[in-house]
Amino acid sequence: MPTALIADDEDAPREQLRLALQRTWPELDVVAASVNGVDAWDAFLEHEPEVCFLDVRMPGLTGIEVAQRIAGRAQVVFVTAYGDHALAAFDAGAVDYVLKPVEVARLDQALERIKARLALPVGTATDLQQLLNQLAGQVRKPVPLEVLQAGVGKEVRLVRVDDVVYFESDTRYTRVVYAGDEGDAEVLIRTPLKELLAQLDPARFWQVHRSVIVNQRHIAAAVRIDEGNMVLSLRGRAEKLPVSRHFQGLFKGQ
Amino acid sequence: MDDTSLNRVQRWLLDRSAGRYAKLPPELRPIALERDKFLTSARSRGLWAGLLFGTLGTTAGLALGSTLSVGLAFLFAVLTFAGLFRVGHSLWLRPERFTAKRMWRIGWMSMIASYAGAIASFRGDLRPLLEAGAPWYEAVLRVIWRATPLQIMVLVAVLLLLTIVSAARREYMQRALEGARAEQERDASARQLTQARLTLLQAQIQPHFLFNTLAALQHWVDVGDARAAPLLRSLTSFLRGSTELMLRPEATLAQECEMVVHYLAIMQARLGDRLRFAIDIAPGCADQLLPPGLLITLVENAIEHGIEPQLRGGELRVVARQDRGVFELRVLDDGAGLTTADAHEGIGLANSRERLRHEFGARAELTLTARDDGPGAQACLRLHPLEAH
Repeated sequence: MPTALIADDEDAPREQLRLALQRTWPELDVVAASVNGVDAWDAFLEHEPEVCFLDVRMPGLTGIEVAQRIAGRAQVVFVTAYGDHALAAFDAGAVDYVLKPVEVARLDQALERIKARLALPVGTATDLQQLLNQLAGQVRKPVPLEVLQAGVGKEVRLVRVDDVVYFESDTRYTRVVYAGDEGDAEVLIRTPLKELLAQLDPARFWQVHRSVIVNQRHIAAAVRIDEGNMVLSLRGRAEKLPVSRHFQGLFKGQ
Repeated sequence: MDDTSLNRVQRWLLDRSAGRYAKLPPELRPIALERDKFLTSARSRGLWAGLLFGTLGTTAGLALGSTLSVGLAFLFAVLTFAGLFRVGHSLWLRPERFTAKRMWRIGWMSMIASYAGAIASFRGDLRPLLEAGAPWYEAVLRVIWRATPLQIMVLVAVLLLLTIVSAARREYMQRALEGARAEQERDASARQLTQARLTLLQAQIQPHFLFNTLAALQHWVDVGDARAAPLLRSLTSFLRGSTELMLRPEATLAQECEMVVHYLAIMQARLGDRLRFAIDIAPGCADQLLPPGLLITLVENAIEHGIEPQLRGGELRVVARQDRGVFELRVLDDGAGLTTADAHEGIGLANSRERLRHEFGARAELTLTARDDGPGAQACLRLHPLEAH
């Protein structure tokens, strides 16, 4: 049974799409319904669905940015309303999309193409990736986070993002390991890792696992353990960080 | 010509003149037509009578006062008045051609012509002089000497007449041209204003907003959700209200707020608890006149750039205050603030500024800045009292 993810920040269109999919593609198993971009990306890493229906305008990460990260590892169908700036580019780049309010007949057409493509092996369409990069460049992004605030006992400690070695998801918190003035230190912050991700500069902070983001300056080496497993060793530190399958492509060697 | 206001003579004449009109520059055609209509209408009776009596009088004067025969005197008079008529005719149409140089030329030519006429007229006086043995040039000079005071009077009269008429005509045409130009400008500016309003109306009811709202509405109707009815009501009120609002030249803050409340009700239905808002209008501010659609543009901006991109949404506030004659309207959000130094001044804000400048000139001031009392952005409109400027 093929699996799918639906992401829309508004309840009604999300539910409408879910109902429409039930009717037009009953075999499709909707494994996750996300309410914003960071949830959608996290749900993708967790469930690895084969089809992702992404609203273009979402807080956290836009649908375009999520698709950029998915990078061809799933079929992406954008969901948007008429009047979206990206529509012209979608049309030009033969990108799959459906318009809100969703009409069953039109949805059916889009799904036929997706079904046909699901039968083929998944590959990264570089054209699509380029188009997404271009579209993502047009998105107005907030200034990357500079300082983190962490409550430690009675004090609020300020940690410069530059000093962070890595972030690790720890149930309801995020563990921040950083190089402080008196050597290495760590604090817990309440911001979930998936939300932090959207606020960090992606060139400096690499997500290597669903629950790990690492400052690339501190990476010493990526070591392949076996077919599916890879770990990172860090400069001057003993611990090893896991690299999940999705992110192993970051370390290809040259 | 099938203009029923024309008489038969006019119709016949104007039909025959069609080819002549076609040769004229287009801007002169109506003037020529008007002139010819005048000349062929009952109103020109005085002119024609004047020409007729002038011709007859001159003929009589020449025939009696000189040795010229009646036939020649008549021919001379006809030529003179035809020449005057011809000059007047083209003067009416193209006064700008009657430059000083041309006036002098006309002056010289009419002088030569009238001397020739004078010599012909005083032929009778010439003969005894020649017979008395005077050389011919002396006889001619004597005639010229006798005729000169009259010639100078005629020349001065003709030139004066031409100058006065051409100057008056030129001024009239200049005024007509300026009037037409001013009218054109008024038309253009009215068109521009209408265009700006339509653009605004279009921007107000963005397809993206409309279809997203319809998507929510359709779903709730399909599943029988109770949220459908109030959303439909808000959408209807918003669409009707903003259409009406945009077609007004100005709107009060209270009217603007009514529209904003409908808009926020729609957005709240869609975004749920991600959108919180408060509207706080101080007493005495509700009647302030504003360009219609200004407030809603600022509110939409704040929702789109300040509230919607936040994972947990945010709070929007509209605050209006009046302090020592200065009216202040602020729209605040608690989003990420201005992301870049150049700030996101979209079409909406530029359009609003343009319209404020149009309505209030330098009295109005619209700024978009980061909030200094916390995260987020604030759009602030200040209207200074008239006396300050």
